Amino acid sequence: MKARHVFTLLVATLSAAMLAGAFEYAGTAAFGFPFAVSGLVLVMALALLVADLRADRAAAAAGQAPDAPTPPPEQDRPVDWAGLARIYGFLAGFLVVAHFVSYLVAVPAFLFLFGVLFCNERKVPSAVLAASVGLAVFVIFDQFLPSF
Amino acid sequence: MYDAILPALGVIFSWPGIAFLIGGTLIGMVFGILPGLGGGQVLALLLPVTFALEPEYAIIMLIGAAGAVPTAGSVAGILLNTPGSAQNVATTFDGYPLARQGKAGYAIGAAATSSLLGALVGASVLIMILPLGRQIVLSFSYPEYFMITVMGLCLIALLGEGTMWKGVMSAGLGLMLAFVGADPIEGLVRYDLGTDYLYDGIKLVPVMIGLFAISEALSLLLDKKSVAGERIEFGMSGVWRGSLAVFRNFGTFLRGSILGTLIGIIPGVGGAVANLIAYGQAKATAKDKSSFGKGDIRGVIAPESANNAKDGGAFVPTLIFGIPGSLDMAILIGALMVFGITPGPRLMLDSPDIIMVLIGTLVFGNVLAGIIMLGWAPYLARVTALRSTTVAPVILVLGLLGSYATYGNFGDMIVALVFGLVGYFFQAYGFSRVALIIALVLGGLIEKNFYQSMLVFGIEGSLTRPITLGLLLATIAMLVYPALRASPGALLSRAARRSRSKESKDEG
Repeated sequence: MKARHVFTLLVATLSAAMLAGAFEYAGTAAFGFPFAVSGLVLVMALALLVADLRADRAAAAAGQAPDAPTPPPEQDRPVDWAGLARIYGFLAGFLVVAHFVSYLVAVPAFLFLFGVLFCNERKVPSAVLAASVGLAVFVIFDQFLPSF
Repeated sequence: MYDAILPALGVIFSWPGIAFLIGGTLIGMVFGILPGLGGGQVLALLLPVTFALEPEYAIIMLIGAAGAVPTAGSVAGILLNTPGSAQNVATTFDGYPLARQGKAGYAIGAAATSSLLGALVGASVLIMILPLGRQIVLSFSYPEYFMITVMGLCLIALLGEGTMWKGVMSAGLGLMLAFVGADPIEGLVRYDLGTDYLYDGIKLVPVMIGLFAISEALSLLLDKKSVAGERIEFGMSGVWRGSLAVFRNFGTFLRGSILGTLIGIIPGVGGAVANLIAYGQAKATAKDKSSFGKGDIRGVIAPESANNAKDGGAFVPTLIFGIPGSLDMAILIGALMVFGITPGPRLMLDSPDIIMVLIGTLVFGNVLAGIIMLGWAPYLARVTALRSTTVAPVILVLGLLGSYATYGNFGDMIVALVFGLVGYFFQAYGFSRVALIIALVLGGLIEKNFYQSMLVFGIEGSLTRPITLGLLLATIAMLVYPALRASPGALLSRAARRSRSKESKDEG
């Protein structure tokens, strides 16, 4: 099973959960739009999954691109899982620092560390970017906007 | 009422009126460019500042700021696929592909010009229909609201992003997300997973920032490319070409402006719907729609003219009935009441000068914002040449802070990150981010207006209302017209091919 199939399966699972959840409510809150829409998406997701798997199997058997109702597998954009995980690791760190310390620390720290460690930029340009964006964010969100 | 036009212009262009207009417009532009911040925030920020001013000058500053937001909101949408507000979502569909082709200046030129002229159309229509405004507003009720939202949802069929199957699935997901939170009829809280955060439903701004801004930043970082690659148009020539494109596509512009004004008149529908419907209408009525979604300038002109024109329309219920159709208008009504001006039927009789100052500021604030944007466009376009390792981390940070700034809720940053991932996988596997966002915008409105229509009018009562029926027919026409129009062309070209082959046979 490819990542694309797992994604479709996740969509089907989400809609199944919402369909099942609809039974917990009464009246229009459940048996109106939520019931109809989640049921429809569930059926569509399962149909897509079956069609996709069949097409892939047929393609593998024939040794050529499948004629599926979805873009053929080679048109799927390759997903850089390791890169995504690293970016989300940095972003999780950003959220933790912003929540428990201050976003005024989190913004320049994230930009500098991300620039040096993920983007392999030199330290001085990364520090300049981090300081200038940090200053702009301080002026806009701390001095200008009352919501922060 | 029209006698008050010249004195109002005198107030706007006198000192310090002009200074407040420039100040308000510049502040509004900053808020428009920053993702997640919009008219509501800028008005809330400026309201206490204006308490010390004369009412006319306070109105000039507030309207100048609020009017500039949608104009500037297109900039980040075009350059970085990060719409400044929900009013600019549709601008990204073709604006960002143009930026990727190195034509950011061209797109910004078209956006600024159509915004500027769209506001002029909106204000002109407002002046003309103010005396009739009461009848217009009263002729709209739940069935009409419902049909307008259905019309918006039908746009998904016209967008053509990915396959139709996956487009409908994406829209279904958007609707499912819209159902989270309190049920509009019975008040039951649905799918809240036991958390207070989901009590009010999933908020649009963090989802929009995640789907468009964060997912784009992820793509830029992982592909390690600049937005525009190597082919970038610098200088003013592209910007002027963009401005001229508005006049070359004047029909698209005019239809977008009129649609925007009409949607603005309806309370509670707003700019997010106006720009999407204008985009769908432009695509549906275009002769050649193959370039939409890939960088068609008409896809920038239509939504940008609509989202600025809608401000003119939104003043109709606000001024005539005191009904705020949006957060911006609610704050504006509050501001007017602070100064002892009560919006309502008496306002046009008692204070026509205030109404004219308000309309004049809307026009000249937008003109000013448009001119500033045109002047900045060549410099702004250079952002697309920066390396992804410089731009993408800044998008991530500003996107997350913008999603937090809207409601001051930390959970919004997490939602933005989750939808960043969703948007990335949607792109990777051919699902439609646009269909999801359209459905999320319209889902709550559709559900609420459907049940209220059924409760108040019933099926027959709803469908026999002339405006509802007209909107239903317009929706059907919007879906069927492209196919009908394509058929004669296809028949003709087939006939031409046949006759050519016959001729060649005869010659042979």
